[in-house]
This record gives sequence, structure tokens and C-alpha cells, in this order.
Amino acid sequence: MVFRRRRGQGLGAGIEDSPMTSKPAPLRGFGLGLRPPHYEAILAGAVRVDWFEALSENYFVDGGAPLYFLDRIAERYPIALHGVSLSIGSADALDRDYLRTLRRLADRVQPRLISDHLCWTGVDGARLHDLLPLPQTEEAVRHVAARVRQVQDALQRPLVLENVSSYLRYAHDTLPEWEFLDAVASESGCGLLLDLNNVYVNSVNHGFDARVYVDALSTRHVRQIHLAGHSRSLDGRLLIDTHDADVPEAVWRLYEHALRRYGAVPTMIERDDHLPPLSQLVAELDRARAVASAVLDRQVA
Amino acid sequence: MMSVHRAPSLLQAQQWLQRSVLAEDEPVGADGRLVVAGDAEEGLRIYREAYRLRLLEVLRDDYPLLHAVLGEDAFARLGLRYLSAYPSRSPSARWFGRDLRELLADRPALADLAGFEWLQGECFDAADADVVVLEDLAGLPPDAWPELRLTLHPSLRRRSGDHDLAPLLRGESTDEPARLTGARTWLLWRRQRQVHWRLLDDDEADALQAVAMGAGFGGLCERLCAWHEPERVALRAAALLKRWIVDGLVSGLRSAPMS
Ligand SMILES: [Fe+2]
Repeated sequence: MVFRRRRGQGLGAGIEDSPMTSKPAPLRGFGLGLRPPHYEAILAGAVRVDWFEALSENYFVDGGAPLYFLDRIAERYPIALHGVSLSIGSADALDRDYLRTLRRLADRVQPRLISDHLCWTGVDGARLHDLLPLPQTEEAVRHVAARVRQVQDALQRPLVLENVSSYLRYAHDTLPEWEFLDAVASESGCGLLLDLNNVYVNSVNHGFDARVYVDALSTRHVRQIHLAGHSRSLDGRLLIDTHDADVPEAVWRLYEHALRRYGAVPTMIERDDHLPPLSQLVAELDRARAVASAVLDRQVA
Repeated sequence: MMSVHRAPSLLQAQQWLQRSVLAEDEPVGADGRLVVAGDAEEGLRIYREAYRLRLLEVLRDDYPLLHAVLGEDAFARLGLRYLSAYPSRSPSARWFGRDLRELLADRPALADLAGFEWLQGECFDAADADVVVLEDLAGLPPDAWPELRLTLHPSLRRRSGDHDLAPLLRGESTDEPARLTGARTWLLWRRQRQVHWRLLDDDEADALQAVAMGAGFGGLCERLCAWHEPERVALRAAALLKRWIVDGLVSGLRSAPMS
């Protein structure tokens, strides 16, 4: 067996720890999404990144390169696991095999945080591999909250849920998105991963003030922030959450606003397509560091 | 406008949206109760398109050579037919493309290629295992040899086919693979995280098949008797064993207990 160092415990003796009951050390600072084209660069030398967020399903395999690199990167950096297939809001039963596989992966890499999305990905056994929007109703809040508790039991770890971009709304919605999100967190006890790009995209697509959304969430729920870029739909009327471009100015301004409200929150940049070299993302992350210290230092002063 | 209908349940709303994303011709708010607010047509178009593009991209990643041979348009047509016939039911898109060759029954050369490329993916992330080295054979007493059994590396895959994939695999061509004079066996395995392949000689394919079925070194020699003069069999068996070990195909050796 490979010896794996536990993180989040100082050197020295005597802290009893078991993956069943341990509370992971908190995530701090500024991270990047872990993408395979960057594996070698990450391992080649010290990179100015505080943690990496790995896409859980990419490591639902038995061996080979994916787990090899994840293990080595997890030895050097804290890891957050970010899933896309939990389907927490589906009317289907929770997928127990999925939860077992995720639990195994979590036991292997000891993540600081496990997140997925407040959405559903299919019903009646189908899987659309997309983050589909939930009706913003009391029924959906209760449904999701009950399932969050089941997931946390199965993983023996807290779950964090992320707000998603959406391109349509249900006529029977009874809650604005921020109330829906806050209610899910309050009722289930899960944390929130606030994707500010998704907030901005939805503010354009559904016509609301993004700052109202940020102001409405309870500070205590917000555990992580995503920054990302987006693109415009063919007819130009809707924004699409494509993660294929630099973080736009409007999202940076919303980030400043969020920092003023929430204080320091672990923040990362998500980039999937048109992936630039690691150094360029590290530079973009430096901007997030600079924005955060400008806002937070001013608050302290 | 006032609605006189009761709000749909979560299940109803999801079934409706899913139907609308999967079927291009499903009208928005199909049954008059599940109406979406705002510009539903444009929103639905984005979900429909994203669904198709995402899964086509998964297939392109799984089948890069098939994509190169068919070209983008024909590959996309094949992919969309596949998406309707074999919709994904697994939480990880890793397994979505596994049956693509079923739609290529009328193009045997492409079915062969698709079968090979799928195994390449299986080989890439199969379980890890240590490999044995030649020195591990050194201390073996002579009477242990006939019962010597090999555990093959978990990444090892064999596939028989009757088309010449080699020019494609070597990047020398993107033509549809030509027919071979008879079926041959391809071996795929992983070494240092890279997938390797080679075409097996017929006697080696037969021998490896015997080993995979649990034959000992004695059984392997017996199998080789069908291919070689008796005085050459031991030499050939030793050469194959050596090559398999050096190539990293063998992850365990065990010998039946001495009687
Ligand atoms: Fe995100």
C-alpha cells in the first residue's frame, strides 16, 4: 500500500483521526480547477496556488494516469472534490453506487471540501450530463434538503452545493433563486459554493440585480466562490456558462461586492475550454488575490 | 394571465423538461400545464444543443481515429443516431460510448476500429498492479516450472479483428482500414501510464489465450505443440514468457504447491 500523509494535522503525536468521523481542515486561500493538461506543470515545481479542485467523476476509474496524478498532486496540495452527477434534485432515488464510489475517492484523497450542484441531471434513469434547473418551490427545497442529509450520511462528510446557470424558468416557481438557495442551505445544513459567474449569467438571463442575490444569502452558508467566464447565445439575448474565457469585468465587480459582504472566502477560477497555460491562470488568480486584499484590507483599516 | 391549473409536481416538471431536451419536436409546455416562464424557446434550444454537443464531444474523445476516418459531419451523424439509440444511463459519461460499434455493423472495418479504440480507453484507466521482473524467475526450482502460472496485468486487453488498423494507429493514414487475409489478434496493455499495442503472431495469440484461461507453463507448451516442432516448443515458450515479462504484461507468478 502507498503511504498517504494526512493533511490538516500539524506534526506531533496523538491526534486520533479516522476517515469515518474526521472533520476536514478548512479550505483557505485561492485555488484552481485541476485539469489534465496541467498535471505535469503542477508537479514540475512550486505553483502559486493554494489548492486544487478536482472533478470527482474524472477519477471514478480503477487506475492509470488519472489517479496517479491525483494522488501525487494531493500529496502536495489540499484538494476539493467537485462533482457534476450527484443529481441532488432529481425525483429519482439517489444513486447508491455513485455515492459509494465518491466515498471511496474521498477516503483516498481526503478532500477539504466536497461539492456538487443544486440541480438535477436526469429522471427515470436517464442521464443528460447537464446541470438542469430545479423548480424554485418549497417542494423542491424539502426534497433537496432531505437528500442532502442522506448524502452527508453516506459520505460521512459535509456537502456543499453550487448555484447553476440557467436558461429557462418554470412558470410555477414561487421563490426567487436567492431565497431558494438560502432555504436549501438553511433547511439541509449544507454549505454553499457561490458561483459568481452563474449569478451574473442568471441576472442577465432572468432579469434581476446580481447584487441583490449576493446580499440576500446568509454569510454563514457561503463556503467557497467560483469565478469563471461565459459567452453569449447565438441570438445574443442569453448568456451561457461556458467556462471558456477570462473572468469578465462584471464578474470581478461582483466579486468585490461579495467580498465586502462575506469577508474572506476560499475562491477559485474555473476554466474548462480554450484552456490557457497554467501560468496564465495563476496570473488571473493573482488578480483575485489582489482584489481580495484591496477589499479586505480596506475593511480592516 | 391567471392559471387555473395546479402546479406540476417535481417529477412531472422534470419529465417534461427532459422530454423536451431529448426530443427536438416536443413543444414547449406540451400538456398546457407545464409552461415555462419567459423566452422558453431560446432557453430550450440551448439545453438541446448543449446536450448533443457535450455527448458528441465525449464520443470524439473516445474515438479519435474513427472521427478522423469518418470526418466531422459523418461522425456527428453517427453520434446523433447513437445518442437516440443508446442514451446515457450512467452518472459518468466515461461509459456512454461503449456500444458505438453496434451501429457500425454494415461497416466492418469501422466496427473493428471502434472496438479497438474502446479497449484503448479501458486499458488507459484499468486497475494498477505491480509487474514481475525476469529475476523473479531465477530461484524457481526446475520441477516448479510445469505448474508455473501467470497473473496478467489488469490493463491487458486482447481483441481479434480482420482489418489492418496499424497505419491508422501509427498516424500514417486516415483511410478506412483495409481487410486482412484472416483474423488477427491485437494486444493492448498499459506501461508507465501509456497504452501500448502490438499485433500478435498467431501462436502467441493462442498461447496468451491459454495463459489467460489459467494454463500453467506446461499447458502453454502443450498449446505451442500445435504450432511448432516438438524440439522447438520449449525455446518458443521461454522466449514468449521472457517477452511478456519484459513488456510488463505479467503482474504475478505463482507455482502450485509441491506434492
Ligand atoms: Fe462553478
